[in-house]
Amino acid sequence: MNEDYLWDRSGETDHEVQELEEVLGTLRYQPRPLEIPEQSFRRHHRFVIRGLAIAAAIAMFAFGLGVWLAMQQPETPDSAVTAPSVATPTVEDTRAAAGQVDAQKLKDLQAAIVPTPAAKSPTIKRRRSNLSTTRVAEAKVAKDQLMLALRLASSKLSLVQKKTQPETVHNQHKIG
Amino acid sequence: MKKFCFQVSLLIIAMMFAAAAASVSAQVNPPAQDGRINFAFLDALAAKANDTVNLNIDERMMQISAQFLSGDDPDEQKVKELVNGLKGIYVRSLEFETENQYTLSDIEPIRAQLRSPLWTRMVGVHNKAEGGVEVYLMMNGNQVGGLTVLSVEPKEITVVNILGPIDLDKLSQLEGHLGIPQLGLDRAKQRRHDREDEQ
Repeated sequence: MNEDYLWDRSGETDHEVQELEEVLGTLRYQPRPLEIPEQSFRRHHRFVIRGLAIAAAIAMFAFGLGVWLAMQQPETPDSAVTAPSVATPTVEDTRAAAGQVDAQKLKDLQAAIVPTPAAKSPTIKRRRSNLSTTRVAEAKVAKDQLMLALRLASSKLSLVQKKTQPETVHNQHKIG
Repeated sequence: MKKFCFQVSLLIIAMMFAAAAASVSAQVNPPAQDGRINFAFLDALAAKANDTVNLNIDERMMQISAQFLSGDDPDEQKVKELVNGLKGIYVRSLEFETENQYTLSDIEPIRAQLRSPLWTRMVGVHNKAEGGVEVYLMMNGNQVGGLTVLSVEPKEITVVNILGPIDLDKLSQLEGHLGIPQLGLDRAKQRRHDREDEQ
């Protein structure tokens, strides 16, 4: 065999080598640009779009849930005092409490709340009296609650004042 | 172009998630509207409390009660002047039988509302053994538009939320008047002061 031919293709050609070259020549490397198959890109693209759509749906659902919760806000409860010192009055209690109200105050309040043309029918007179009694009782309860609220607020503020200005309080005690 | 659309859509979805999170968070811990404190989380503690005070006095009730206040009694006259113009008074007070019935995280929803721009913390006093009191004001320009007092003691939580123009000096002077002796909320401290005076 002519080894120079294998090295630089010089010299006599070998028949067997030539046959091999022809056979293997078809498998020679041929440089070409990279071709991305279209099908796999589309698949990936579709996946991304679907993911975005699902994320958007979840976001909208969460937003809608927040709006729904906002609309479902509970109503504020009616005022009720559960401390032992003040009881929530019933209708019977309010009437009994009204009986203890100062007569003059009752007259003043009636004059303020209910106009005083003379009632012709005794039934109407009784009904008006019941209404004003109820309103008086309501006003009394409201006043009691207001006083309690102000007392609580006042006591806490005084506490803060005493803690922040102890010298002033100390002198006041000495004078008192 | 495709890349730009993709980025924009991602941004929109992120914003929607943020808005959803904010709206859900607002329901879980809604901020005070016009200064009114939401007591929902505190009401949940009421089941553990020994005594509870729950007052919701709106403007209408305040007007009704003010009509019933006597102008002849000087103390009631002071109260009448004090509540003139107020929009509402809301109080929650929980007294527990023993200590450690609640944690600071139970009060955090209230504090979170008071951290909103509406409220300014004016003063806070704190004692490890006795707890603390914080006073918050809501300012409308130069005028006081509301007051909230948050008192946290080992066996008691009290929140007083007053809406409207309030005179703090007049309010703090009310204690001891109105024919009612000073409340025993700081009785122990009062006794300590008296003992110091005697010495």
